[in-house]
Amino acid sequence: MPRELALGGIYVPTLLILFVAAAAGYVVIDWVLARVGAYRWVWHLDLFRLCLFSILFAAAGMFVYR
Amino acid sequence: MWPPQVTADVLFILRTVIAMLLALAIAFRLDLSTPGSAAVTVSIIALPQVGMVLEKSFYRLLGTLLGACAALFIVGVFAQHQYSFIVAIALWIGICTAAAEWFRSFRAYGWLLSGYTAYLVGFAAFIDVPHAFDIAVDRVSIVSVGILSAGIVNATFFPTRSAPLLDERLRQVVRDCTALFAATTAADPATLHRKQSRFALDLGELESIRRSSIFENPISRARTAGVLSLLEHLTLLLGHLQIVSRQLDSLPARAGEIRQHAIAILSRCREILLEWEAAAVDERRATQAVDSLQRLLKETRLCVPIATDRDDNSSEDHAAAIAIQRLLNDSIQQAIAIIYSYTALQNPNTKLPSSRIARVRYPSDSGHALLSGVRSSTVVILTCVYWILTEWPDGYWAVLFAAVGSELFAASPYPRRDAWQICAGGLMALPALFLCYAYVLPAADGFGMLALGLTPFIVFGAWLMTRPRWALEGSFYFLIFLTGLNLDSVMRYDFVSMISVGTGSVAGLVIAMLGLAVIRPANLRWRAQRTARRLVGCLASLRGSPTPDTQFEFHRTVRDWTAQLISLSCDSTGVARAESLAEIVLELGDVLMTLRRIDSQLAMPFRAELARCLDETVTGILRSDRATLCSLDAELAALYRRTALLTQETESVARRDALAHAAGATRTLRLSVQALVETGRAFTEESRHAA
Repeated sequence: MPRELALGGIYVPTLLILFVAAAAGYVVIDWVLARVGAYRWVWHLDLFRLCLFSILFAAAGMFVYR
Repeated sequence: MWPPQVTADVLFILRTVIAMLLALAIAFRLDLSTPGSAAVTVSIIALPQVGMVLEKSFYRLLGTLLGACAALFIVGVFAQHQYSFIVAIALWIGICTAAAEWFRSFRAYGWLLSGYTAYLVGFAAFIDVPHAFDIAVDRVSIVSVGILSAGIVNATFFPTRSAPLLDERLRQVVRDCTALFAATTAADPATLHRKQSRFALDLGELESIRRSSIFENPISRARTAGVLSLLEHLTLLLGHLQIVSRQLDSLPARAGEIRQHAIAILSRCREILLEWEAAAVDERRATQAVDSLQRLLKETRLCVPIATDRDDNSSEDHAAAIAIQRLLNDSIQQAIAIIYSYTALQNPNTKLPSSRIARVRYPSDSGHALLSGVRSSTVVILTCVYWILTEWPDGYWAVLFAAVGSELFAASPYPRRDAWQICAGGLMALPALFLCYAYVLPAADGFGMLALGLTPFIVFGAWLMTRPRWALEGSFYFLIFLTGLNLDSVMRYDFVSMISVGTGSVAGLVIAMLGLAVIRPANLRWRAQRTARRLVGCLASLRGSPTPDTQFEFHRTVRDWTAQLISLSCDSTGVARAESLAEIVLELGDVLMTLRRIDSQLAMPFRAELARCLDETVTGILRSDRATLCSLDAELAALYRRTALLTQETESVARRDALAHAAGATRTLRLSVQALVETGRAFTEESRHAA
């Protein structure tokens, strides 16, 4: 995957687009986990959610920086 | 062990230090142009609870994005026209100031930020047009780095969450309901008003904690509808009890039995609520308490026979008894709704009746917002023109602080005090700046040493922010300190630039204060009078037929304008007058809604006469002209007599009931209009005195 993408004539870092995509995916997963009550079993809720987002973003970023 | 507040303050300082150093580290690593600005962002969004930090961060990011886009647009259009560019930037700052005045809380902050971001990005981009987009991206990146650092540290390092605080405060407010019932039954107006004011303030605080808690996690977000429903019923209960206490006060001395019966019902309601609170909040207990309250509802109907059975029976007592019975009914209904809402909130799996939730809107003074916008634009244009014509070396900073000052002072009821606080924060930053420049930065070899050297200065600023009286000083200490340091990978040690930041910022604040003093000075009394008019103007929303949300929206709006009026009151007399005006408006609104509701049960031509009279009453009240209000009094007296007569003549039981209710409401309406004339006179005399 290229490290920069042209959007409307402006070069945008691919990581930025992946960041937004990871954030969108995170919101959905976060909502589902809260809905099914999975967060009751989590020790540090905010740390877990931060790690969840980091995993999603890092996994997406692996496609750019291999 | 340390007191909890000390622990909270220490944790806040620790979080701020870690977040600032993290932001600086990331900004240096990414080679951003002004790493200090990332730390400034952390200092601006440093707040005691995670929810608040995330809420402010969200609006800061939105404001920065909007401001950067606006700047790019303005630069794109006016890149070749210096003065047109300045006017466009000034107009945008004016629009943002007006919007910041119009909106509330952190949303207002987002607009405020959008104004000066456009200036920061716009001027830099105007000088270097080919790199305009990079400048905007750099600014957004810096702010994002600060936001991310603050968010991550606050959410993970011993977080202080809003959700437990919300639970605790909700429990407290529900407990205070019983105190409110007790104060309504006690014959002590001072205690009653104190309790009512405290309760209203608590509801306002709860609303702000609820907004912040939404940003914390999806669990808090899922509960927000339940919290809103509970707040709605608590607001309505407060309103009803305020009207009940006014009605009981206005009862003639001969109606002592009605008063005693009403007090007995309120006391019983309080006992039921006390019993319910004392036990575990579960579905079974809630059902028992609601059953008891529903039995009590039947007893409220006894008010009217008491009035009718009296030897010296008069139609006025009958009307008063009907009005009190309706209000007691409404209060108990709200108590039932509170029990249901609170139980459902504590036990999400319970199957209890739920009510629909009205949308919360915050009223604002459009005239004042417009004036603030015009003032900000004018101040920015004049300062820019002076800067360009005189080639003032500190002009850039002066314009920036003139814009920030104009925006900040417009929203504050005490701009002079704020200006002093900002200057005090700046003055505290100066010795710290010199110390850092002379001793810390030359010795800082690498980021580790820099972090170590900066830590004591950051700790001092964060400590200032933990003191409620010094919070503004703390924020501006950080702003001047970090901006003045002008941290970069390769330090330049530019003393002239450092002094320029200091003198320019002070000059900008002085210009903002001058703008406030010269361009249509909005003193507190003027604003209070406008707000009082807006408070009375809430009745305009009751012109048509009431919808299910009308009652709550009306109570909520009145409550909000009252809070604004209280914040503008200089002394305890002003506060008492504001509260009294709010009670009258609530009572008037309640009566108008009742009359509109029973309107359909009445027969023509009386129905048409009542509708016309109500329209005239609302128009007269909104005009707030003493002569109109006095003529209105006579008209309402005539309407009351006619309604009372019709009640006696009508044979249909249903229609007679409706007419009796109409008579009770008309009597209250007349008393409220009389009270409004008195309170209005007090406001007018004060404004005349001020003039």
